[in-house]
Amino acid sequence: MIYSRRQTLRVMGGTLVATALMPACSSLLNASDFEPTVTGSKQHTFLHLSSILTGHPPSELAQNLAQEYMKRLDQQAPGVLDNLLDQFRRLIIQSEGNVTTLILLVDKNIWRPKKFGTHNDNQEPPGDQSKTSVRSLARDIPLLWYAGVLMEKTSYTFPTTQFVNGSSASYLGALAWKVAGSHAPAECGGKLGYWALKPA
Amino acid sequence: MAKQEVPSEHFPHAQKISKQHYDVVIVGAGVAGALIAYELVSAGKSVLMIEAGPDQTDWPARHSYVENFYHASQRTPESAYPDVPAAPKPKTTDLYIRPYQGYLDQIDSDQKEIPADVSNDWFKSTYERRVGGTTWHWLGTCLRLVPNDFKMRSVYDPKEPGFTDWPITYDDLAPWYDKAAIEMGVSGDPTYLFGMSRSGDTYPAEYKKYTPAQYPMPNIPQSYSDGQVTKYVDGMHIDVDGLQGQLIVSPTPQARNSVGGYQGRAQCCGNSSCIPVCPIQAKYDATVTINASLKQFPKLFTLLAQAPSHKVEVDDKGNVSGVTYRKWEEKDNKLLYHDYSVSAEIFVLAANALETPKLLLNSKSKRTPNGVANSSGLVGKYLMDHNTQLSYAIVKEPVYSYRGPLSTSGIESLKDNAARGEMGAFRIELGNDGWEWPADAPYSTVYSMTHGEKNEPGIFGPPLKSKLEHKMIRQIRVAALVEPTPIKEHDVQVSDKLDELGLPRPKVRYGISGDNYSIRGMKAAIKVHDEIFKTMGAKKENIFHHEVEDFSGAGHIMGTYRMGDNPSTSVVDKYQRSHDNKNLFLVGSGVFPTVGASNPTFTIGALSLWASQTIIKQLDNN
Repeated sequence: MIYSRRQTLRVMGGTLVATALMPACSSLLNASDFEPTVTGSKQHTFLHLSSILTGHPPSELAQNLAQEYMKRLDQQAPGVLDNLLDQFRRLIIQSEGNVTTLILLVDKNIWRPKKFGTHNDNQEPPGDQSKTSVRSLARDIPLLWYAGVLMEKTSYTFPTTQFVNGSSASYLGALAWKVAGSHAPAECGGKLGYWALKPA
Repeated sequence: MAKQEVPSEHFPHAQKISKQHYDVVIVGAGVAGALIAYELVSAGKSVLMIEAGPDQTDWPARHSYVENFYHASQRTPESAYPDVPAAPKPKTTDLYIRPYQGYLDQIDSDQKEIPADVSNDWFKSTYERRVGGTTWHWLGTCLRLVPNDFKMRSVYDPKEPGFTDWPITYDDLAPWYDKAAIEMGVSGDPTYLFGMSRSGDTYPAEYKKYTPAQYPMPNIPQSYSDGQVTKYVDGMHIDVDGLQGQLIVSPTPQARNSVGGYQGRAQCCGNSSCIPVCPIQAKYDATVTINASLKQFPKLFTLLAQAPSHKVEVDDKGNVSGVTYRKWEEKDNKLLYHDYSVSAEIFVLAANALETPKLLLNSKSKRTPNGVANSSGLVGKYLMDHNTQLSYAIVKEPVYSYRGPLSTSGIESLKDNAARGEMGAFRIELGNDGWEWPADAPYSTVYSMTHGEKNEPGIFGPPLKSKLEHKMIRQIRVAALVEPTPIKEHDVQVSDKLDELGLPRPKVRYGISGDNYSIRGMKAAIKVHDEIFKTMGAKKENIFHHEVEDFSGAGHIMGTYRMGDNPSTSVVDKYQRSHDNKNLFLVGSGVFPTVGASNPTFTIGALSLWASQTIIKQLDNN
């Protein structure tokens, strides 16, 4: 199933998209999770936003990595994660318990606001383009979960940015390896010859 | 870091060593030195091994290297190993970080940015300076040179003047390859020789006279990805730019345990980090042999680390009389050091094909105005590397990369072909590591999907997960190791720029722009890679080739003290002994006059074991 913008615009709120998305989305956020995500701790809200953005249910997202990633994002752009989580809480309320609607709202208001590349009411006003926006930080969340890295500035004249790893746990727990049916390099992958077969 | 000379007594161990006279002094604790040392001490000879870098080879050190790798921003071969100010090394990141901070003197250090109009045309390989040497991060591939590799001039007669025949043949080296397979613990399939199945219809008639290779362990299993390549490509005929041949996929012999316990090493469990480090030492590295010498022959074998050698002395009879080294330690943010000299009957320089010539050229004196062993003027000349062409694609069916050793198969069937008079031959390494090497995956893959590219906004949620899985399980890469021309002007000299210990750095000249022979080979390799990917169902927009000028280094530093029968056109004889100095041996891939397309370490191993027997006989005769 490919989630396309064309589908979204054509059938926004329609049952066709909702049906197409439902099997993949139903595990991401249960109805009983909605209120705790709004009223709960920052970490709880972050885990559920991460679930929406990664496509993995919260049970597959490690608590210790959530703490690490929140810290890294706060260090990179103080205050922006709080702003993003507040927006997410408002969108949860707006979605009235429907996870598919929530995803569409996240897409419209956080991931891809009214005009691509410009701000909207939900973002910081334009001006200092060197500041990380909510939209930009939202993309760093699945980047962290899948790859364990952020793109950070260097002190060199070239290149000016590079991927930066975090803890060993974030390297080993990067979801990209799991998705590819493999493991983080340097971890033992199995018995001799496991690589001759398809992943289990 | 500031440096300070201290009295001789500050390093009592080094001081004591300097008063001994050894049968053999070996400079360099890499694979060549390690194998020679073990043979010598096994024969009852006393050996001192001197290494520039630190001795950090125990399990806590290995685990720390793995941790470093976890945190590395760039997962390069050297990323697992900490920088050592007193034993600096070239790094892959030197090539693109500005301002230039590299150890090799080859790029104008005033360059703040990479000029847009300057091609990426310099020496790109790296090495490690610590006990164990570069085998800490080698892949483990153990391929033999093919018979015609030794006879490039007489068989193919390329117009490029640097090509010459070796003074030895494959037949001379064959038994040493078998011994190297035992000493390095190689897993391989004896039904293949030179990458061709001996029982197959395609096995060249001229190979039938050669004795099958012997291995102490059975083959490392080929990967699922290899199977997919075989399914679509094996047997395919190609005809590109005058290169004709057939693609034959074969398992790669490698110094990696398919059986647990060989040399006390673990059985491979596919950690997929062979480069930069095998966490469990399933892969052979030179510390295996060095530790065996230390453990089995403690009275005969002495290892002195943190002691870069910087001068070789020659007496009035033309014999090497001593080596001077600079023993150092880091203390209170200072480098404390003292110079010592040591004597021996025979000296072996095994410091790799950049450091060994640098040492020789730095040893000018009245007796040796051009440096030691350099009456030919060729020490440091003909620097070579396998110019590596990287290509990668998304193929139609899943190949499930990112699993197993980084390579378990290759296409060796193009390494010798009728076009070698005009273009560099190559082997194709089939990667099991997806797009890690050519495109920094999965970081780059995830980043482009989440952050978007070409004005696309990026994706999230279940579509991201699904698309990422779809892409990653179909990512595949190949690498062609292309033979370079031996070019005299590609060289290493002594720089006037110094390292933190006050010793000169290597000044290196190398590039691909003057090597049309190799460039033709690289261009042919691109076309062959293209055919492979298309046959595997890759769409044109999902096939990527690094440009020829963006060639990669293979980590194969070769050619700078070439062997030959004629002292005016070579540095060492066929026994790897200096033409000028009968008690001096120069070992490692610096002796290769031409390099073929096979990874060099196995040939280094074979040559080193041969040299060790020559040295033992010479000592016995003396």
